[in-house]
Amino acid sequence: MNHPPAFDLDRFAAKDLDPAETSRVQGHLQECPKCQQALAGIEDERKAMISRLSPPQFAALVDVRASLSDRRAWGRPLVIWSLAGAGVAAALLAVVLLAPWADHQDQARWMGSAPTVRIYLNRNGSTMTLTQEHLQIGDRLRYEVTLPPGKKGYAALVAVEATNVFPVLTGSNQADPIRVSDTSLLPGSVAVESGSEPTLLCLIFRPEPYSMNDLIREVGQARLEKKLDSMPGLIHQLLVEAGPQ
Amino acid sequence: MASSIGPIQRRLSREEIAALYVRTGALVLRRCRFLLRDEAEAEDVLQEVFVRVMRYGGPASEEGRIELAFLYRTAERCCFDRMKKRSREPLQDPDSAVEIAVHTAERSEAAQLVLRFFERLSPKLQQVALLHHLDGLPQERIAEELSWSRRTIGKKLKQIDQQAQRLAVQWKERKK
Repeated sequence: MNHPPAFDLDRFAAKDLDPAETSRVQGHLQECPKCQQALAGIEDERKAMISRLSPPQFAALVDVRASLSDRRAWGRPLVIWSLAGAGVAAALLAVVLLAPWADHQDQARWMGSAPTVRIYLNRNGSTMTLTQEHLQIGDRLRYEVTLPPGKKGYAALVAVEATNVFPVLTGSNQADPIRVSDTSLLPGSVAVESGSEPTLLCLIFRPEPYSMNDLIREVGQARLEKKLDSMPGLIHQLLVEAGPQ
Repeated sequence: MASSIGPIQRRLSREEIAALYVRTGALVLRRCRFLLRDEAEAEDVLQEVFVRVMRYGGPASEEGRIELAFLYRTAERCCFDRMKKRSREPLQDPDSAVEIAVHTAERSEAAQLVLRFFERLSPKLQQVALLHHLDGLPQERIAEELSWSRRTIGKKLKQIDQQAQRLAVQWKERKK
């Protein structure tokens, strides 16, 4: 039996063939279980890929990467935690805040009725969504918050190290949180540098404004009482700690 | 072959990227997986390819859709760059090569041998090997695709087969 080239099956699956070619491949498929199976395999992979990352999510990620690759050079650091302890053998990680990037306003996207969070990881110039990746020194993180359409609120990222709480991503005057609506890429980014303590990055979102001072006090208290997980408005936590050597 | 209407030379919208992802994403990803043998890298290259398409567009069919061949060539360039950078790393077991998701379509023994040792072929031969042994394209179409003469393609294919056979013998010796 004369099979079409595998590439033409790919193009058939991608709806890339002209009508005559399509008809030819369709005719062959009606008589060829092997090529039918090959096509079914492509369809299975397509479904698996989309279930991992939906088309709107993928498109948003690509859009952010395209924008990131257009960005200019980093600004100088604003805040540095000099926490490196003496004689630390393991590559423990803390965070350094760099100058904010140009704000990026996205078109409205929402996924469900609760805020969702996506973190973008930039490593050696490549950007990807943070999933199960182990963080490395030099990595940079950006946070994106998506709200249901028409919703607005206030987000802030704080770092918790032992009993200390620090603001990481805040509004431009650092005393207030960041105003967010629809889909917002939070201004500023977090860089992973060496340090001596694990750091818990907590993203808080609330529909009403609040002050950073109040938030820091509240997070510190919740941490002491071991009630951080149930803190109102805590929508994401990321533990940054030593990885395997 | 579907004829092009000419390139799309503008930034694509998110909706267009989403539609292109549905239509071609799994195919491009599968190709990257085969070349890179690493899921995370393959996904990264997939995004890189779509970033380029989003920013610069590409050749499109009569219906105004970006062509799969263009996406494949773009992905291959990205993958070959990465493969070159890691050329000093230990090579993976060639027996795992064809377990990476590729078509279950019919392949000759010669094609299976080449695919098994694809990673070890010289970079100049890998592009032709990809089009002939993975995509099943005849020499005329490869020549058209790469803008080379059919004679050149024929010579390259011969070199590929010879190299693959040599590699197979070396691998067999190594495993003893």
